[in-house]
Amino acid sequence: MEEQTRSAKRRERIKTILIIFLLILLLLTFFSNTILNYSLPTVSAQYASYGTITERIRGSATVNANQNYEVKAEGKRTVASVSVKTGDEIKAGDKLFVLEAQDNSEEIQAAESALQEAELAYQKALLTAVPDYAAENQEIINARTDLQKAIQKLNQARSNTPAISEATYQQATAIYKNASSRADELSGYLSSVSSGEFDGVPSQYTGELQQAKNAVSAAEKKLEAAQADLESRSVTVSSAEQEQTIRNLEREAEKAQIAYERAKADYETAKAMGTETALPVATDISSESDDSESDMPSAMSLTDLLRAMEDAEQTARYAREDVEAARAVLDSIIAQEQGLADAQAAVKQASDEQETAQANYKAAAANAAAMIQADINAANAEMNNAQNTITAYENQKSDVSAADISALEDAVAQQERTLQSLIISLSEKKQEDSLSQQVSKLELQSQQNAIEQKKKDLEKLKQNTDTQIITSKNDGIISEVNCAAGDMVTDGDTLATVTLTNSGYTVQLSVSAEQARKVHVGMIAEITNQYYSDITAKLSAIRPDTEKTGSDGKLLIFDVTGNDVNTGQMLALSISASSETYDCVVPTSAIMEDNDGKFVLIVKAKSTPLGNRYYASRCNVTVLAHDDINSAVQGDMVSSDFVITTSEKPLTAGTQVRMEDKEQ
Amino acid sequence: MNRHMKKNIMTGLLFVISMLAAVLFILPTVLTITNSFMTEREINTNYGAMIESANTDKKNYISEELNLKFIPDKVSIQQYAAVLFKSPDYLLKFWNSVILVLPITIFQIMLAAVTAYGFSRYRGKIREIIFFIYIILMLMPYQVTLVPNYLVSDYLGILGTRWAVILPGIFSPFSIYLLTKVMRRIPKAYFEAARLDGASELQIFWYICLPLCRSAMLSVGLLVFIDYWNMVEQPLILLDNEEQYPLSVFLSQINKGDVGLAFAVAVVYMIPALLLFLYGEEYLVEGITYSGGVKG
Amino acid sequence: MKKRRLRGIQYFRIGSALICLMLFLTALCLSRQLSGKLYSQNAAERWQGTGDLSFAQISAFVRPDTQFTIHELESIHESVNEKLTAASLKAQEHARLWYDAYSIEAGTAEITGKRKNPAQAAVTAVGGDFFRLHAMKFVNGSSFADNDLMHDRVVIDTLLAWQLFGSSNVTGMEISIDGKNCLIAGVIRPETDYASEIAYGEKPRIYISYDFYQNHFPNADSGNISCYEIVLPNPVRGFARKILMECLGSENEFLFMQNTGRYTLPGRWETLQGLRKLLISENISCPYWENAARIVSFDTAVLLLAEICFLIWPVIYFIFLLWKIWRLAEEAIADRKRSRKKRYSEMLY
Repeated sequence: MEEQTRSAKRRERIKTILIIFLLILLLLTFFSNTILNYSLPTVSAQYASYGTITERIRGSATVNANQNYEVKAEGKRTVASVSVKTGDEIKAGDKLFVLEAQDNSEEIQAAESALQEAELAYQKALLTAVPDYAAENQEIINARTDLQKAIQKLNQARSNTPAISEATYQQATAIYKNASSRADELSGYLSSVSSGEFDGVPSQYTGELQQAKNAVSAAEKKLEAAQADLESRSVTVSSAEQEQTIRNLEREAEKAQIAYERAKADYETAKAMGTETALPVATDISSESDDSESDMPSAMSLTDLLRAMEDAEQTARYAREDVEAARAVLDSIIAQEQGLADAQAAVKQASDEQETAQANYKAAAANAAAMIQADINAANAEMNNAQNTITAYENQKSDVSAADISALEDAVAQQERTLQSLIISLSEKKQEDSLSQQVSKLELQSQQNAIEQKKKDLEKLKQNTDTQIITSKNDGIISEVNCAAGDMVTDGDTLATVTLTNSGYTVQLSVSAEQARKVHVGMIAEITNQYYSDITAKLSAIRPDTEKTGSDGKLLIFDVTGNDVNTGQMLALSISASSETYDCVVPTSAIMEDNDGKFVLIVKAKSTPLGNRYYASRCNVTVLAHDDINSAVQGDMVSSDFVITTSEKPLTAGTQVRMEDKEQ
Repeated sequence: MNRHMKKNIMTGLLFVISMLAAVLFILPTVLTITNSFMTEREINTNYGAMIESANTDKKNYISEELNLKFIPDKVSIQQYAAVLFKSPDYLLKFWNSVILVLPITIFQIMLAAVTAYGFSRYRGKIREIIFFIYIILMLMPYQVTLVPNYLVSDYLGILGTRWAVILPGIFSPFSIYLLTKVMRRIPKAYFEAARLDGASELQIFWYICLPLCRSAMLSVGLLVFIDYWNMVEQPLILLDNEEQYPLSVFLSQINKGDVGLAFAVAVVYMIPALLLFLYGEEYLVEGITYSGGVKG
Repeated sequence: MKKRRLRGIQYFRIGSALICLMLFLTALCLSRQLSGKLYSQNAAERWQGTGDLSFAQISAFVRPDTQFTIHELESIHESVNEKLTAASLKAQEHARLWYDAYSIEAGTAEITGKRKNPAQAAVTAVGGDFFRLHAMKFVNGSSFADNDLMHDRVVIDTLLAWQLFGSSNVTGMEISIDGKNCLIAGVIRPETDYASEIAYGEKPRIYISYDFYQNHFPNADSGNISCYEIVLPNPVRGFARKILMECLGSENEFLFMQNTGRYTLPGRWETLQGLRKLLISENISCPYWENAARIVSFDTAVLLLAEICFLIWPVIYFIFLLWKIWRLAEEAIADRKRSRKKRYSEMLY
């Protein structure tokens, strides 16, 4: 019983559960579609197609006539009547305005005072200072010297520290040792050479030296011999004396001869005369004594005369012998003297030889010494080099580092830069000054022109006193009339603007450089705000835009033609910049991007036994080009894919979607 | 104690064997239930080698061999949410199933009761022949009579409608046979007593026969329900419109659709059958034993 | 087994526990719903797609004293790229690793369309990937981009389209903002969740490109920006925020708000802890999406509080049940032991 009730209860419960289950399922089925609509995003999609991407450049600008001319008033007048209105077509010579006469004495005065002021200003402006650049030049010079110094320091630093390797160092040390030992040797040689000993000196130096020394010693020996020889000869009497003696003796001989002759003559006379008279005896001529006392003629006998003649002859003979002896002595003396002279000459020669030998020796020694010295110098130079290398190597270990080099280099660069900047600033300043000078010159010019103009105006003012009729100079259309009858206009006021119809109209559009790149001259632009009109605009020029500051904007100049064109008309232009066709063009809103790149979502239908389900599947693309509405894409999609353009909410790839019910 | 222990051991052994058998049979069901709690990604990983429409995003790992995993990496009710909230098609197909099966079950039982009463009460040679034909028909698999069914349905003009499935189902011989058996077991005395009391045939049928066969009827109904709840060929062949298919058809084509979703759908599909079974468990056991049983 | 009948109090306990549980679930779902609608806050999830690298969206609002101009953007881009390469985060081929957007409110302007009845609209000058970040729903047309050829295209909302033209199908038509002509690139529908509706206001909006703003609006030469939003990779917590603060400035110059993760449980907990801070207006004019996000933040924080409250009773009851079951199980085991013993003893004798 209990079992039954329990099982009955259980069955009851199960029945309840089953009913609940079925009810829930029923509810869910009933509401499933709503839930589905609630959860599945609705998407609208379209086929990717073959299409064109057209980029357009848009803008609006006002039409300007290529040529306008403004009708200006001259003088301060009142307008009496206006004969035209805006939009009128006028021909050249048509009457436009009638202006009344004016009282312009005030104006004349004002103009005169203005003229005076202008002239004063002009005079003032003439006094300009000439710019002087002494200070800057000085700065530049200073900077140059600094740079030089810096470069020097750098070079020094650089040269002081060549990269030196250990091997080089060792080599240098060895070289140094060798060189120093050699130098010592060589100096030893030098000293020995200079002191005259050539024992230890190698032959390359002493080859000649020995010979020279030998020559010297030979020459000295010869000299000694010659000197000895010379000394051994002595001349007691010189030849000159001997000659003197000879002359004396000759004189005496002559005297004696004469005396003899006399004597002889006396004798002969005496003989002839027979002793009659005694002739004064010729006193001995040789006696020099001026004994005038001995003038007494001594009567001499014949014998005496004979004796005297004999004596005289003897004396003459003796004198002649003496002379001859003296002559012989003279000869021997001469020979002696000759020999002496020879010996002297020999001595001289020997001494010359000795001297030359000495000189040779000295030269040779000097040569040798020089050679040694040269070698020493070479050795010293080597030593120095080696020493440099060594010291450099040692130094490079210690103090001068690359950082210093770079610091010095920086300093040099800095100096260069300062120098350059100074130079540049000076040149700039000069340019500026020259420009400003030019400007001031132009200003002066313009001031002068203004003064001229003022003068002219003054003349005109003084002249203008009657009514004026203003007529138009050319054909055209009045685009603006700025005054009405009864208005007071001053000189220079624009009374009306006339657009010359013959010269065409232009429109200027300001665009960015990138946009300007897309168009070229000759393109036709569409006018988008004028309908039913035949206005055409053609791009005639692309110029840089000077009005916009700091940007590289460009101005597109269009020539506008058409019947309805007026100045001041606002035209909205649109040029199709580039137009290309692509295989796969989708709306820009279809392109999405995430971490993995740009993609589009394609609707893929999956047919299950339960019907079609639509899924959004991802397809990676790259955008080739885009314009306002569409983009051309390239990816693993084909042209017939159904691309999702908009959806209810952000989609992820792979979610099921619902297609939007489009009203067909 | 020896016998006791032996009995215990025998019991234990039988227990083990039956457990093994049970496990073998229950494994697919458990697989279905546990896989229904997996995320779609994991199912793709495990079964992707088999599925035609596996996720070709190249971001999922698809193992080369089929993985039979019992424990999900991450329990998620994503599939159930998808089935219950985002798949009106599945739910509609569920109701298709219900629409097909419920009339079949109910009317078959009713019809079978009446027919069984007739068979059991009125013996005769003709009846034996007809009964024999019925048994033979019951023994034949359904596919044998499929073509005649098709032709007849076409002739009747009901081909492509639900009647093509329901009508043959209503007139199926299986329940007739079982109920005949049950009714035959009722002692004649009851009927005679009732007749003596002046009851008409109908009243005997309604007031005496049916209550006695209630349990059997329930069990037969259960069997019929389960049979037709799982039918696949009849709707496939006899129904045109995919929208009229029952859910069993979809589940049979599991590798074309979403496998993960199919697990969840299968679990949802299982529940009514399971509940009904739990409901009529005792009757089922009772009924089967009665129909072939010894007791009177 | 003893029969147990449920007493009234037990019904009450179970019932109340179930009700509290239901309320908890409702609050949970509600907060999920609220936060799921704000697309301007989940840009990082959208950017991540199916990848493994997680991202974070951070907004920086310029404080009144700080000067932040468009000219600094290039250097910020460079430094962000440097820092990302330093962290060995590289973009994939043909893809970007991160993106940003900036905007400034440019006051109100008079918009006239062809019908010549003007409308007043709030003008926002935007740049960068603004529309991608905010995922606004375009009912017509599409957005403009920085690399367009002409920068005179604008995006209006459906309110403005209605006022000017009477329809939303107005892409390509010309309108003029304070006299400056521009073209309509697309029409967006304002967000429809309750918070955005409150924050959006009644005034229609128009979005112009920053170039257009600089060229045509007075006082726009300085290039000021008031709101800078960026989506950066965030492999670990705080990475993106750190990078942005290093590149942009300190807390004194900008108000940083990490949008991603604002409505997760930790985010809501934080908001709850600093709930009162939301009431302090720091004199920073936040754009409407940030105001909407704040409204939702507040609501979700309050809901978190409610969830916590609702969860208390069911948890307690559940523990109580467990204890009861434990007791029952113990009893049943004891019972069974006793009955078995009895049976054995009976069998023996």
